[in-house]
Amino acid sequence: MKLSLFDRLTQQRQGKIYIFPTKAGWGFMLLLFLLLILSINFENNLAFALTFLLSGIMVVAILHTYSNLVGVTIDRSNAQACFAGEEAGFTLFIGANKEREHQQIQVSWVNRYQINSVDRVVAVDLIDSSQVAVELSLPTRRRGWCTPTKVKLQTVFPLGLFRSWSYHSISAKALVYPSPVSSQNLPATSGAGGQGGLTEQSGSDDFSELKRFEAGMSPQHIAWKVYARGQGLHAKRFASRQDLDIWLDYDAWPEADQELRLSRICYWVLKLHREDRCYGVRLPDREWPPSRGDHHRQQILQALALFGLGSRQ
Amino acid sequence: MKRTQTGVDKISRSAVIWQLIACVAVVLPLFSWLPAWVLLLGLGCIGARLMIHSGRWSFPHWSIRLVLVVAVGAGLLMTFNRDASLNAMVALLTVGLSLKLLEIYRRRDALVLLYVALFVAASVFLFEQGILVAIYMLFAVLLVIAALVSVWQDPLREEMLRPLKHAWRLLLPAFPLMLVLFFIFPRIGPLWSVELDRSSARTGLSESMSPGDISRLTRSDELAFRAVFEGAPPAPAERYWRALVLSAFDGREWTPGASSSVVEELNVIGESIQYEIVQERSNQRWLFALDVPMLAPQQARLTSPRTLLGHAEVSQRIQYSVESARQYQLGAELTSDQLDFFSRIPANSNPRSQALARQWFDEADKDVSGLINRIFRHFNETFVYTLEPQPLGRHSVDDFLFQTQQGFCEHFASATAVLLRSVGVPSRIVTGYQGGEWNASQNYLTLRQYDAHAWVEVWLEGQGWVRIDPTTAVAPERIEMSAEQLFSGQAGFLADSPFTSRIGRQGWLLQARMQYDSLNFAWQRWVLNYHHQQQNLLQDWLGDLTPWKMILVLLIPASLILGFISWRLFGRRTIQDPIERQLHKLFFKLEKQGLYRQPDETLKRFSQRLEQTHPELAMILMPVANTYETLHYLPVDQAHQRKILMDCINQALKQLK
Repeated sequence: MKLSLFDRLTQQRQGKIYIFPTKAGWGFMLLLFLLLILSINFENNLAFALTFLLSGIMVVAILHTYSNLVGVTIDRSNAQACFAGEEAGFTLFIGANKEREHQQIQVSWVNRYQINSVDRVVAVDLIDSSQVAVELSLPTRRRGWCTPTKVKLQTVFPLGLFRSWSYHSISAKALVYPSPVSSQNLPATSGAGGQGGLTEQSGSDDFSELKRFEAGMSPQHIAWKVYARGQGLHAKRFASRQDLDIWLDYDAWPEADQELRLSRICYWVLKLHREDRCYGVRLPDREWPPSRGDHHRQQILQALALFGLGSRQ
Repeated sequence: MKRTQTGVDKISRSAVIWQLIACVAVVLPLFSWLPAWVLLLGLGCIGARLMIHSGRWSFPHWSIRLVLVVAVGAGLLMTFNRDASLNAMVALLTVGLSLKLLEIYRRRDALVLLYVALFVAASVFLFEQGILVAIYMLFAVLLVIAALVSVWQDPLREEMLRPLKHAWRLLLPAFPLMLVLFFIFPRIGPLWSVELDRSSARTGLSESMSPGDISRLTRSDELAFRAVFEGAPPAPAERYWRALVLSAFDGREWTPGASSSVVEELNVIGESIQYEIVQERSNQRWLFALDVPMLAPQQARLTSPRTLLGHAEVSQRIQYSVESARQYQLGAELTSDQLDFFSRIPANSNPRSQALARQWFDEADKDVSGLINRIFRHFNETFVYTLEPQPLGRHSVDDFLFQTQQGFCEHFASATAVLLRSVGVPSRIVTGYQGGEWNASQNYLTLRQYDAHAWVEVWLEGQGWVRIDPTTAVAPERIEMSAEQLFSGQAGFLADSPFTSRIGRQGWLLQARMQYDSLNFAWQRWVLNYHHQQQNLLQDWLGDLTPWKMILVLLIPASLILGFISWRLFGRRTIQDPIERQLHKLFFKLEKQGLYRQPDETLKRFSQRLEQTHPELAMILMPVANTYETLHYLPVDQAHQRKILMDCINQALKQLK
């Protein structure tokens, strides 16, 4: 299936570079026009020469502005998860041939989201480096995958007379968790253990043991005194909650709609994780037995984010 | 690598310095044309901006700025008295630049500043057009462009030289483009008339001649005109450049007198000579021609005694070609009225001279040439040729002949003409220039004010007007040598240009001066006055001028230059690694089918993606992807694996056909 020439010319190609005069460029042309009038009227050949020199510079500036963007691509990108309503962070690695300098490449989203684009433009220089990381953020409203459509690379360097730009799509997508919504009490239906309702209270239970600190443990439980004695990072473990399994059940809030339920579960997941307690989650289609740690939390949050969205994204 | 939010439209600190440099560079050549207070204001603003820059002062409050603007506006009104002259315009622009300097910290301000600076740069050429100024302005423009680059660079960047390098890379290729445009851009006349606000002081010869007028001119070495010859110039003794013919005498002063509209008839004998004259601004109407012009150039008409009178005052350098007869018969047939006019002198003036003339005429048996010889002999005996003769009284010729006996060419010419007229021989004074400095490298004669001269034309029966030069009788070397060689020892010579002109009169200094002069002249002819040459030059080079040809002449060099720059800028993207090069070909082939690899997609992921839509292509690509990954991520024999990969890619390329 070969594409016709017309198709090839008209499709918006990856990285195709467009160029057009800026406002300053139009201003410069006006200046050139005035200089030409001056030269003609005073029959002054040196003024003619200056006018032509500036015109030449303008033409050369087209090439420079264009070449400032040639070869600049987004090598790779990754995204950081966030909660709905927050800004999802994207890291774009802008790359180019190291031999050439690229200055003031402005990176921004293609303005489709009606956001104030001015403060979402980041300008980077690629001098003596072949890659530079740029952080861009995108506001989110709903949970699920946040997939930015396209990134615009744009530059007016060196003279600001022309603006050249190109569009690049990126493959990174950010996971957006439901926004946490607090609820005072965990409903009594919290699970198979049947320990009854649990009110929100700070965990000041009996200290049971010290465990070597591992990534994912709550920093709140670090035994600083032990650390200060130079014995390394340890976390305090509390015995009393160990056997107390908490279940966060989707069906626990019959009065709330789906999103609110997910938000509440999310809130409790975060809270319980912070307190380093054991918790399980029960969603209509899946359940996670009580556990703790980063991986557990991560799994649940992702499931909450994508709940009911199917696999279409 | 630096990174910034561009939300704040600030310019870098080094850019502020660049703005200052650019403004100073552009205003500097206008130094002598601007009122002193404008220069002081500029200096003050630069100083203030530097104080702000170093953080010792803060930006001026709006009330201070308002006061400044009002004060400066009033100052301009007072200085220029509301006349909209060029000086006033440039002063206004300079003042604007200075005040704007105070408040630049955003891009917008800087852009306004630099655009105005470029306009000021162009207006410098309305005042100064020398070759050195032009070269200087080229650098000034380079600095302005550097300032413009610095405005658009990273606001955190501090290096000063980077914008300059970039500006150089922009300006260098623009230069040939400029030459092409300069060469072919059609020069049309002014769209509306403009007054060049230059000094309107008249220079050079004046319209009348009284004793001391010509010798006064020797105080100056100002350029009068240059004459370009195709071949050899006329011999020094033949270099008489006519400007004015003075026919009326009032006892002391010679004036042109009533002019007739009939041009005296000219019979050319032998060869004529063609040359081109580039005349400096004199604010007078007459043009110059070698004795004696055959036709008037376009800018002038012939007067009755065959001098050239311009249609307008020569208020800027002009260029014209003239053809002159070297041997001729001029005005052979004059009416008795005319003969009477040319032999008229006030009856009661210079009585002793008139008596002397009559006596000599009788002694010579009424032979005019005998009388002329007698007069010349008399001059030769006791007279002194000097630049600083004593002042003469009312009967100037009597005083000169019988008392002072010293004078310059106008004294001798005037006395000769009076003596001749006393006995009824028609004669007249011609003023102009004599001689000139020959510049062999460019084939031109330079005539300066000190070459000014006056001589006599006498009308002889059957021969018409004949040039006689009484100066040859007293100082023949004046005609053979150049004026400056002759006078260089005398006190009054070049009294108005005391230092500069005295050096370099001989030896290698003279050589260097001649070289510089010819350079300057070439500059004037080919650059400043190019519009005079353009039409002919283009026709010589291109034949008939059609719009199509003009467009081609513009486009071909322009595209060559731009092509070269493009090649320099992005032509060198050849991939060194042969494997990468082949891979590139492979991707290119896929792209032609509308399949693009995402920039962050590995070869493997790409072929996996293709599997879903184009399984047959994925089949071809998959082995390449696998070997590629093996090469890069597994510890294998590199050279061997590269060879395998190469084969793999070539295979795929073949299959893709």
